Amino acid sequence: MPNTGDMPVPESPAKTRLTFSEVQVGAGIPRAGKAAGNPYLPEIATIVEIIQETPNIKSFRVRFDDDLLQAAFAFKPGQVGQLGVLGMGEATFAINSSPSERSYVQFSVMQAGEVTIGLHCLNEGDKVGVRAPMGRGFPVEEWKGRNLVYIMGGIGAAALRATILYTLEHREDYGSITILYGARTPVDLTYQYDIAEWESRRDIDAVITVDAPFPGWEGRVGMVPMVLEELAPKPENTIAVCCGPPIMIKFTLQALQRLEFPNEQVYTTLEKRMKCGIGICGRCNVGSKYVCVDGPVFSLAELKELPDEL
Amino acid sequence: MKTIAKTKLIAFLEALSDDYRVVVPLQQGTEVEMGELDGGRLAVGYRGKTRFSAKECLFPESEVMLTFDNRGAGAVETTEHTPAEKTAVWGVRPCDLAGMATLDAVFLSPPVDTYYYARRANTLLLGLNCHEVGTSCFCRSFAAGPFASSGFDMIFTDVAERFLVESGSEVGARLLEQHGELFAEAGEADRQEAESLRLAAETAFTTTLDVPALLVALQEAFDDGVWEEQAKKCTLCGTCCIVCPTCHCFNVEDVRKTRKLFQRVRYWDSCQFTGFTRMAAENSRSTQGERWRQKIYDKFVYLPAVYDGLLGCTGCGRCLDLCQGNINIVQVLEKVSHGH
Repeated sequence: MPNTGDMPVPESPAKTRLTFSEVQVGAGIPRAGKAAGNPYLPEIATIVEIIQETPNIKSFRVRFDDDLLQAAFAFKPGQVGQLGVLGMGEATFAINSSPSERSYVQFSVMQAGEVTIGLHCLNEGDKVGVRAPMGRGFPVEEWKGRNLVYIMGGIGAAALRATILYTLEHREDYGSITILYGARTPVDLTYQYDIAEWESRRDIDAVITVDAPFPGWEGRVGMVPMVLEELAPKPENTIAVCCGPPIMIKFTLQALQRLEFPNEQVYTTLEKRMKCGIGICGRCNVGSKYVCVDGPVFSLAELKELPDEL
Repeated sequence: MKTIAKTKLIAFLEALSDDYRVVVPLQQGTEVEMGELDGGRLAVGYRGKTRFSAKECLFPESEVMLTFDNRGAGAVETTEHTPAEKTAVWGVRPCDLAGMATLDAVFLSPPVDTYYYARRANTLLLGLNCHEVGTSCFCRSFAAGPFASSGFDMIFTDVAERFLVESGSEVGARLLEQHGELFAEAGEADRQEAESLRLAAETAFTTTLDVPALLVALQEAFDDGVWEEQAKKCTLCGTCCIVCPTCHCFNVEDVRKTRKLFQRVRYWDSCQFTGFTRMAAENSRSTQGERWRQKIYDKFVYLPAVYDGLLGCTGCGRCLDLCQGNINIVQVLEKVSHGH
């Protein structure tokens, strides 16, 4: 039975100026468990399953050691979490399991730096630290009745998977759903288990593409932005959600502009270096917005208001 | 309002040290630095400001936040290192008190930074008004000084042989009462002397910044060439952030103590460092001009946008004194405000 949203979904509160006497310790931490007092305290979780998605991407399914916390864990699709290797530090990842999944929380990690290599070295049964959820998710409630076009490249699928799963579980709430997913080669496509299901469903359009011909690949060939223009979704009553490498996002946004999508109907998620996750440490800001608190989800209309420092 | 003889100040601070770790300005060669009461010669009547700001008392250069003890077999024990020590800081200048108001806003906006909160709750702030203004000081431009009007438990004003003392909180008032034998009632003459010192100090500033004009100018200055041009002189040392009373950026890292024991530590960081925003694939502020602009915009545009007009500069002038590339930020900002 999918979680229909009866669970309170905590989003990071907007910053406000308080004086010392007004302060309530622990207020505003969108998390349950003992970490509700100290925003830096991770909850200890155990890796229950590791999925080798591509040669350099692994998905980690983790369970909080605190059973009550695991049962109460709620998030909004699009929200992120800090996943940490004890002794090596934390990094930010999208929570990409379905919000209705009660038995584990999934993060996908591409091997890129110190922490991600540390994570890749872990085995099932090992301990991790988790601070989640953080930030603001996609406004899936507002999207009810709209058509949805998901446009994803490579590891960018991790940022949208929870949202796709959520909208598929609430299929009757939305109009047509299109999933356009591309990667450099077929080997670089994550979530093969989802792709098989998406392609078999009659009530959605799933278009999977790779950048260049590849031995054994009989599917579509072409870069995501080009395929998007071929598909030419109509902007009327349609939300476009895109995530992928910066270059892919750049050309996808241009393609959406040519397809006459208004900025208010285009959403993406930003990725920045983060440390504190609560809008203090100073590195993930774009102008006066902190990606960890005000993001990572932004509409293109919101991004146009920010300084050009993406 | 009370007075205390300068010769009795040490007795008051020593009395406080029964309950508090006492931090005071100490004479270190030609410089004055904040340090523990028994760590050197107390700079009772020091002029100008300490070389570094007093923010360290609330937000130390580095601190251990958590310890993880990975005991294997499915057990990780986590210890929180919430600071519990009580500290009294005497001699905090108004520019630094104003800086602490900015730190309060940043660290105490929900979700509350529990480490900062614990330290803030356990810290007694005993301010010291400035009756002599330094050449790089421009706190008057922010109404942060030379005399403080809020943000302290007690405020001291240097009037010749004694200090005029006022309390600014219940704790401060209680302490004045508790140590009544060291203090005398202030007379009208003391008040008048303090008032004339204030007026003299207010007119003594040689450095000023037209803040309202700057705030207007910055709305249109994001793509100004001035940022890249100034950044050519920047040596990327980060000193401006280290000495700044409002800079609060930090890094968090895990340190391995033994094979099974790890500490999560945070320490001051600087938006001027190349790696500050670097990620695996890209860096959103990759040029020094962008980083320099970020520092200015954060203090004068972004912080006020988030925290109800609160500015991230108090005019202490330390970044002018200590810039290794000899960049005079006030001159640069005046250029931005009033044309090149």
